[in-house]
This record gives sequence, structure tokens and C-alpha cells, in this order.
Amino acid sequence: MHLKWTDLSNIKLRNALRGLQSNTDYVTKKKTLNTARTVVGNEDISLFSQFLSELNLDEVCYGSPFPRDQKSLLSRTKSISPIPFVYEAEIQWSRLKKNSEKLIKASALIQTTNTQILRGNFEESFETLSEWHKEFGVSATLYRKVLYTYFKAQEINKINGVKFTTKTTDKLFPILFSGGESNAFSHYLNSLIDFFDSRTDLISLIQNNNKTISNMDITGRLYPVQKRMYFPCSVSTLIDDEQFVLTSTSSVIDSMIDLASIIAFQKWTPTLNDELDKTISQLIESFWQVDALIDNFLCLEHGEDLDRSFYRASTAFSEIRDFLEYRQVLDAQLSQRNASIVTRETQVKSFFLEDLKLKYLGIPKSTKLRQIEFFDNSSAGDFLRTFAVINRLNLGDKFSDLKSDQIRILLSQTSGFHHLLSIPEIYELKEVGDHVGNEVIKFLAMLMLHYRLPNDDDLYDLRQLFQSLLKMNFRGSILEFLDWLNKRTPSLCRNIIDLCDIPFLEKMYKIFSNFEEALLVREDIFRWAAESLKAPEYLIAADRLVLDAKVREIRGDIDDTRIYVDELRFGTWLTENIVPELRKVGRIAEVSGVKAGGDNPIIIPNGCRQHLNLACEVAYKEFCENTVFGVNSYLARRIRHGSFRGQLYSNIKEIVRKYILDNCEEKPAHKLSLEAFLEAYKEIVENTSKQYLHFKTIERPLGLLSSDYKSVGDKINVLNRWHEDIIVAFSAGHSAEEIAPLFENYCWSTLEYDLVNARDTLTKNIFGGKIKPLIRSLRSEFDKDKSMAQLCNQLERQSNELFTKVSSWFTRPNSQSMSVSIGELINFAKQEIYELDRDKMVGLKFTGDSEFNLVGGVYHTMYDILYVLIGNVQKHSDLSVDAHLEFSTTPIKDGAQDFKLSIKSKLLPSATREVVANNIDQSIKKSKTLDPSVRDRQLGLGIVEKIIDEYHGKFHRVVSDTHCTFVIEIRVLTPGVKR
Amino acid sequence: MKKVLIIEDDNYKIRDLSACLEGWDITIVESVRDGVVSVDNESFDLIILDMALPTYKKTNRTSSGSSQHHGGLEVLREIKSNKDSTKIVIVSQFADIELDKELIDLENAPKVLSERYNANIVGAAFYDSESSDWQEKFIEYLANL
Repeated sequence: MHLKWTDLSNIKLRNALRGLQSNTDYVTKKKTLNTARTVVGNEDISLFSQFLSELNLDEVCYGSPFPRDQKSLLSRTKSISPIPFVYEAEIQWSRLKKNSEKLIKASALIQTTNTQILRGNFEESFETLSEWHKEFGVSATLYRKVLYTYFKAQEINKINGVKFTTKTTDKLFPILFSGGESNAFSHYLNSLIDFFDSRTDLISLIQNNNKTISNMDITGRLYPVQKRMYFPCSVSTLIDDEQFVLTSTSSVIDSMIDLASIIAFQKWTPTLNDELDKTISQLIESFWQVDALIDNFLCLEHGEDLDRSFYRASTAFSEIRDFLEYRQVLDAQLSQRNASIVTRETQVKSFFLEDLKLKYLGIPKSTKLRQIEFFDNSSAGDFLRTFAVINRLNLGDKFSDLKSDQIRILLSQTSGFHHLLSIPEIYELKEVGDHVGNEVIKFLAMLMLHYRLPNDDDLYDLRQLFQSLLKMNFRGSILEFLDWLNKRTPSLCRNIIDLCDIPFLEKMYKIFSNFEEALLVREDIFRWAAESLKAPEYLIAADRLVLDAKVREIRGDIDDTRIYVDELRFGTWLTENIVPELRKVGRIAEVSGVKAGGDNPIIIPNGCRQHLNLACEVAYKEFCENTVFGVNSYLARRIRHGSFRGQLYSNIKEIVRKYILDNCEEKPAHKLSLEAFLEAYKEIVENTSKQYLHFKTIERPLGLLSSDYKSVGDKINVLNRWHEDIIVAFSAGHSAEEIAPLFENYCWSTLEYDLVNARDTLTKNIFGGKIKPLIRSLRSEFDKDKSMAQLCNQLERQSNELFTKVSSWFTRPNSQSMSVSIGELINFAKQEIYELDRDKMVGLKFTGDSEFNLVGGVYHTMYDILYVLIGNVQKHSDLSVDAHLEFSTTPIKDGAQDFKLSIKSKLLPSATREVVANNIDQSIKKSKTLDPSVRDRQLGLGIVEKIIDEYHGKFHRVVSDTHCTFVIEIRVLTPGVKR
Repeated sequence: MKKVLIIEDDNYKIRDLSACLEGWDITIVESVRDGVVSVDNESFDLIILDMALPTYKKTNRTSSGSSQHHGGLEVLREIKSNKDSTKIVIVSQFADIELDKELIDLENAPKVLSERYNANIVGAAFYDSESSDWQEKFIEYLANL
């Protein structure tokens, strides 16, 4: 047929097409083409499509009719203007005609592939798919068949994990699945992969997808891709979407499958003008000649979970009519419960006959029931039954029509009701449970309500009912309940597992008496699920929980010993320095003939008091101020230069930053005030650290602790008891060496008064007196802004929690015999450093025995060293490359061991070898010349050197042009044990 | 002697509250869990309730679990479930309570929370370490019991 410009009635269109013919550059062509598409009308559309085809302009629009790779599948269609569906259908029809010869061959291959897949000849079908790819490139249709075949073959071969099974897949997969990591099609592809994977819960997947779509900007690029994820079954979705051309029709094979379903559902009928039209029409019709295959398919699948297999198959065999029609019904039930998208209402009846009442769905699978069309009671799985229940509820059936046993069976053979039932239906179910006195049904209904309308009050009621259910019937054991449920309603077990997260469990006050019990049960639940539900992924969750618990335990240990005194070293110091003075006391006491015991008051002999005062004063001073083992040393390294600032500031900074990011784009005044608030908050925290977290001196008058053992009246009472106990011990015949250990306990008792004061100051004066007013002033600045009020509320509660936590560090340690593996300690130190600055995460590669266990003092020493060294990496290294941490031990005689620990990190690109080496030397030198009480955080390496000196060890620093390495070597006497 | 249950975790607040409760038989619990168990197992003439509480009391061997910003509400839910009419005074250092994502001023809290939890909340005092206003208010509540 000869085409003439003058046959086009629209002059604008005529001009645009002329322009298209003369334009050579692609961008201009495309622009003009988009103009033409927007002005074309009903009278010209047929001719317009023929022009496009004849002038090869369709390829400007859609790219190659048989694109070679994933990237080119969508490369051009992304930027063309959408037009009404019927116009697009005309254009696609012309494309089919133009490529009809190749399409006939492709259709033959599609049918061969189908037959092979349905007969289970997966190897052969992969060969055919490979041939298909070679001849006709990529298409969404090809992807669907490849994925279906692949996952089906895996299921049948019981092969777990994604790995290619045949030589053909080895060749085919890399070509098909590479090169489109971030485009819209790869998003579609990823969803398809999930869809075909039998481990995915389809109902949730589809519903999440629908939710995503409804939340998406309609003009967003991903919208049509998302919307058509499960095409072609939702034909009406396709035709409502003017952009349908943008998703998968750049390959004419997809275009052909699309049009096949559209024509089948009579949404569009082509005008048949010539022989070619008829050929295409017949070609499409040929897809409908394979009805027999579905019976074949259903026979093959018999005995399996028919419905889920079917749902996946319906996407892979979208050209087969029965699949398509059946799927239409399911989609309608699933996604739009009250808005039918099915045009042929009779179809619903043919699939779910009137007599498939709700009560039949409450009959066990084992019971023989007359087969109703597709519904075979013995083989129908949860998926189909769920749809059938929904269908009956849509038709007006009620749960109250059933007996409690029938409801239980119905629930046991269905799934996803927490998403699918309407709120009134859930309430009805709850009432039925109440009415028949079945607490399990009531509990399950409340659980569904919790998913749909979560609120704390209902969650409390749910938890109460759950606890009572467990106590009454399952000896308070969640595992026993899960065992019971798994035998009756296995599909609900996962809902219970989801429900029983840590926040839920820890509030089961009537079952658990402490947090750790709840944590242990959570781990048991995961392990139970891994075994009973054959779901090994739960093992990973259980292991992660154990790891988290260990980190929490270490944190507890470290928090407990932030204020600490190294018992062993202090003991040695006492022996060397206090015992001689004590001996003098002992001699005087002996000469004086002191007798203690009974009701007699203890009289301290004349002459003793002076020696006792001296011994106690010196010992307490050393206990407090010693820069290696005393309180001051730990106060400096673990609180002031350690986690104090990170704990109090980082969390608050994160909250404020997130608020600014989410809410302040158009509120510059809010942003400014919040930034000012953050600065002021930080200043309070830093001033607290500088002024308060010290032992009191003339320079630091606000220091929270005092090494003066008589600074407050209450301390004198302790001192008197201390003196008396020493005298009593001498009178009981103890030696000075035996009495010396009493000193540590009394030193702690003396310090206790200051620790109470420190806790009060932090929570009452600093939080109550400074932080709270600061937050209040921020709040009053934006008095009427609700979201700012909520932010301030959050800030107030969070900072209260943080100050309470930090104040709890000011306590006498409880832990005496702590132990940890080096690997766990490294993880914890890394986590702590990260909390200090959440913008920087240190990556570490570890070499050595991560299970090596550290106990007692060595635990503390290694923690302090790791904290400084990893912190140093965070501050000064190139974090794009993992640092390398190595730890080794060499046994020496009598249980002693030599430790060697090295950490090697990459220098920042801006740093030079000389500057880094100089900085390190300066840092260490400076720390040696300054009193530890005034050291700042930059002097951490000095702390390490001091610790190493104490051990008479070695501390090497090696700086090369690219890396910096620190190596420490120490000999420890009681290092720990091999686990 | 009248019995009072203080559900509070801040030591300085406990000290300040105890100072106002001379002549009362005082029981102190420091966590939501202990609060819930106490209202289940014992009867009191008065409950003094803080809002922000840890889930469990920390011990040498066990941790405190999550810090519940509105842990006091958990105790009120238990009181509702027990149909308990014990008089309650809320003493909080926060000026409002968040309920269903809405902030309720502490002044209005007794009315709102009493209705919601069928509880006998006779007053709410805003604890401020820098001022004695709360103390006067608290003593007034005690006098009116």
C-alpha cells in the first residue's frame, strides 16, 4: 500500500511526520515523534502507525523489535510520551505485522518450550530457551519462562540456593541477568525472581507490591513497571494504564503476548484489512489452541501445593487462556475485594460455584468431597482455599455459620487472613471465639487486629490473653504452644514468631521475671522454627541474637567497670606501701593488749590512731588517684575520654539530624534553631566532661569525686569503722599482710558517697537543671508546631534515658570474674567507637584465634588498648579500606603468655608519612608531660603506651607511605584460657 | 499505717518523695514489671507512679531491658484489667504524656487517663529538681486523700 501525507487529516500531524522524515539526529526525531503522538486522533491513528512502521520510526520509539540485552529492552521506551491505550494498540499491531515472519518462528519456539516445561524436561527447555534468546533476543516473556523453569527444576531436584544447574544455564544466566543493576527493568526482574522463588510468601509479596504502587507517585518512572509486575493476568490494569507501552513492549514478543490477552478479553479488536492482519490474528489465536496443556499441567502438579504452583505458572504461561482466566479471578479476590476487575462475571461462578460454601472450607483435606470445577478438596492448598473463603465472605457468608472446630480447620488450611479479612470480619471472628469460649480463635483474631490496627492498649490485651492461654494450657511455654499450633494450624506459626519479638516478649511480665529469660525464649523460638518449619534462615537469626546478647553482656561488664580499680595491682601496691605502716599498728595494738569481741566497745590504743590515719589516707589517695590502676585512670580513659560524649551526644545528634532532613527543607528557622540547640547541647556535655568528671582539685573545683577521705561527714563514719576493723583483725591474730585486703573494700565504701553525689549531679543538676530547660526553651520557641513538640518530647525522654545510663556508670563494680573472647571484645570495641561518631564505621579484617578467652585484669587491659587503637583508626585512617587486626599468643612457662596485637590501617589520601609519624610522636610525648586528669581525647596513644610500660612490654609504631601500623607486645601472667 | 507503693526508678526522686510521706508504710519498686506484679499481688492505699521506667530492675546478673518512656501506662493497663480503684498520683519529670501520638499535658492527664483506664488518678505533679512547686502540689494531693 502506498502511503500519502495528504491522507492524514490532521495538519499538525502531517507536518510533524514530514519533519520526522527529514530530521537525522535522534534527539530531535524523538522530540518530534512525541509531538506527533500527542496530536494524533482517532481518524489518523491507523495510518499513523503504518507511517511509523514504513519509515522505521517505530524503532526510534521502541528500539530494536528483538533487543539483544536487558539494557536495550527498555532503553528507548522510557522517554516517549504515553498515549491512549487504543492508539498504542494500533501501533503495536503494526509492529507485529512488520515482524510477522520472525514472530511465527518465535511462536513455534514458545510452544515447544511450553511443552518441554510442562512435561518436566527442563534440560531440553533450557536448550530451547537458549536458542530462543540467540534468535530473538531478550523479552519479559523469555525472562518469565527462564525463571519459572529454573526454580521449578530446583524444586524438583531439591537443590537449595541459587546456582546454575546445567551448562546451558551457565551460559544463559550471565547474559540475561547482567548489565541492568539500576534500571527500572532490573527492579521488575528482581521482583520476578522473588515471585518465582517458592520460598517467598506470595500473598505478602503481592500485597506489598500493591501497597508500594498505591504509595508511589503516579508519574514516577517505576510506576508502570511496578503496576505490571504480574502482568499479563491483570488485563484491565494493563489497559487502564496508558503507559503500558513503557514496560515490556519494546520486544515485539512481549507486545504479541500483551495483545493476545487484550484481544482475548475483548478489550480491543484489531480491524482486519489484509492478509497480513489475518496472519497475525491467527498467530495470536494459536496461543489459545493449547488448552489441553493445562490439564496436563494440573495432572503433573497433582499432590503438590497446587495453588501456589499455579499462581507462578500463570505468570510463566500467560499466553494460555485457562491460566489467564483463572488468574483473573484470583487477582480480583486478592487485590480489590469489592471492586471486581473481571468483566465476565460468569467466570467467578465457574471457579467458585455457589455450593462451595464456607462450611466446606472448614472440612479437613482428608475428607472426600465432590470435586467442584477447579476445587479438589484433597489437593487444593492454602492459597486457593484462602481465595475461596474470601469469595464466600464477599458473598455474605459469616464465620458464625461455622462451629469452632470448623473455624479451626478453616484457619489451618488458609493463610494471610491478617491482610485479607476486613476489620468487621476480624471482629466477627473474635466475637465467635468469645461466644464459643475458644481462646485460641479469640487470640488469633486479636492478633490479626494487631496487624491491621496496631495500638499499645490492644497489644497489652493481646499479651494478657496470650499469657493466660500459655499458663492455662501450655505450662507457660511458648514452644509448647507452637508445637501444638504447628500440628493444627501450621500457617499461623510464623505469625506467632513475628509477634514474639523482643519488645513483645520482654513485656510478658507474668511469664518472665527478667529480661534475659525473654531473650533466651526468643532464641529458642528461632531454633524451634528452624527445625520444625524446616526454615534454616531462623538459625541465622538465632545466632545473631546470641551475638547481640554477648555484645550486651560485654557492654554490661564494661559499664559496670567504667569506675574501676585494678584489684591485683592495688593489692601489690598495698603490700609494698601500707603493710609496713600496718605492722607498726599491729605492734602497738599487741603491746596495748587490745581485746575485741563480745559486746565490749572497741578501744583504739593511743599511738595507733596516727599510723591508722596515715595508712588509710595514703591508701585512699592512691586508690583514687593512681594513674594506672586507680579510679582516676579509669574515669579518664573509660568515661571522660571514652564513651561519655559519644553516649550522650551521638544519639541526640542523630534524632535532630533526622528531623532536620525529614521536616526542615522549607523551614529554615526551625533548622537554625535546631542546629543552635545541638551546639548548646554539645557544649553542656563537653563542659560537664571538662568540669565535673574529675577528682576535685584547686583547678577543678567542680570535680564530682574527691580523694580526700574526710571530705564529708559520712566518710568519717566509714573511716572509724575502717580503723576499728583493723584493730579487731589484729586482736584476732591476723597479720598485716592478711589485713591489707580490707583496704580495698573500705576505699570503695568511702568513695560511695561521692558516687551517689555524682549520679545525682548528672541526672538532677545537669539533666534536670541544664538539658531540660534547654529543650523547653526550644519547644517554647515553636509553641504551636505539633511535630516540634513531639520532637522535643522525644529529645527530653531520650536525654533523660542517656543521662540515667551514664550516671549508672558511677557505681562500685559488681562483676568480679569477667571473661570474653578476643573476637567478641574487638566487635564490642568497634561498636563503641562507632557510637562515638556514627558517620564513621571502621571495617576490620581479623587474623588470629578469635575464640581466645580473656579473663580478669587482662580483659580490661585489652579493652582499653583496643578502644584507643580502633578509635585511632576511625579518626585518622582511610575507612574505605578495611584495617587489618592481628592477634597471637605464645605460651611461656607457668601459665604466662606473650600477647602480640597489631593493627594496620591505610593513611588518608591527604596524609603524608612524615606528618603522621610526627603526630604520633607528639601525641605520645605530650601525654607523658601532662597530668592524666587534663589529657584530652587526642592523647589516647599515650594511654596505650602507659599501659604497655606497666607490663614492661613493647609498643611499636611503623608508618609507611601508605599505611600506619601499631604493634603491642606484652607478657601476661593470667591471660585467660583457651575455650 | 497506710500503705503506699512508689513506682519510681530515680533515686533522688525516691528520696524526695519519701521525705513527703512520713508516717506511711512505703513500698518502693523500680521497674514496670515490679509495678505490675505489685499491683497484682498487694493492695495499697496509694500508688505514686512515674511514667518513664525500665522494664526490669537491673541486678548483678540481669539487665534492665528496654527503657519504657511510658512504662507507667503499662501499670495503668494492669490496674484497669484488675478493676482496681486504688488512688494514684502521677509524679513525672516530663510535662506531657504521649498517648496515641498525641501529647497530653500533665495537668489534663488525670482526667484523660482515668477515663481511658478506669483508674482513680487523683492528681499529677510535674517534678522539677530546681523548684519546690511540685512538692507543694504533691503534699496538697496527700492532704486531700
